[in-house]
Amino acid sequence: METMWQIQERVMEPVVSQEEALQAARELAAVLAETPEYQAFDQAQLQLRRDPTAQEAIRAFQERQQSLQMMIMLGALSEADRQELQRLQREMLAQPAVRAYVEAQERLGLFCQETAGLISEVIGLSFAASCGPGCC
Amino acid sequence: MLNPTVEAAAREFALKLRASPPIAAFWQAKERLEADEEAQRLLAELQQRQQALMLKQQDGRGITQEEIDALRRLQGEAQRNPVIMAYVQAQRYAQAFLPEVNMEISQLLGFDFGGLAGAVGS
Repeated sequence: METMWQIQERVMEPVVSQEEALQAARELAAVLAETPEYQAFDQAQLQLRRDPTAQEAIRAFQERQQSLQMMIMLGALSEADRQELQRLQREMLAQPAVRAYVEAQERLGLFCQETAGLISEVIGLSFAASCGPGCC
Repeated sequence: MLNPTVEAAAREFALKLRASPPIAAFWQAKERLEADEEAQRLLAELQQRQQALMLKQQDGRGITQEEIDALRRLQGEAQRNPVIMAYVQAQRYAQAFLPEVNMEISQLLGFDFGGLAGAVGS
C-alpha cells in the first residue's frame, strides 16, 4: 500500500517548473535562517568580526601559512617552521571568539548535513556531493 | 535529529525539487533503465567483469590482453546503448541543476549550504 508521502510524490511529479523549485529553495533557506543552529553561527560570526585580538591571531596564522604554502605542498617544511605554524594555530584557536565560531560552524555543518541528507533521500541524488566545496 | 519544522520544510522543498524538469527527467530515465532488460544485462556483465579483473589484479595475477579487450568491447557496447546513455545524460543534467539550487539557498544564508554539508567529517 502506498504511503501518503508516496502518493504525494507521484501526484506532484511533473508539475513544478525550475523557477518554482528555486522559489522553494528560497523558502527553505528562510526556514533554515530561523533555526538555533544558524542563529548561533550568525552570532558567533559577528562576535568574531568584532574581536580585534581574535582577528589579529587569525591574520598572523593565515599570513604565516600562506608564506609557507609552497613548502607545505612540497612536504618540505622545516621543523622550526612547522612548530611556529603550530604555535600560531594554537594561539588562534585559544581565542574564545575563534573557538566559539569553530564550534558553531561544526554544529551548523552537522545540521546542514542532516538536512541535505533528507533532500538527497527524496531526490535520489546526493545533494552535497553535487554541490561540493567550491561549486558556488 | 532535525526539528519538525525544518524536516517538513526540507521535505516539501525536496518533493518540489524532485518534480522539477531536471530531476523528474532523471527519475524517468532511471525507471527506463531499470525496466530495460538489455541495459540491465550489459551493466551487470560490465560490473561482473570489472570486479573479476580487479580481484585478479589484487591477487597479483596478470590480466591478459584478451580480457582487457573484452572489457573495452563491453564498455563500448554500454556507451552505444541508448537507454544507458539517456540515463547518464539525465543524471548529468540533474546534477548540473543542483549547484544552481544550492546557490539559491546559500545566497540567502550567506554561506555555502551544500559545501558545508559535504565538508562535515571530511
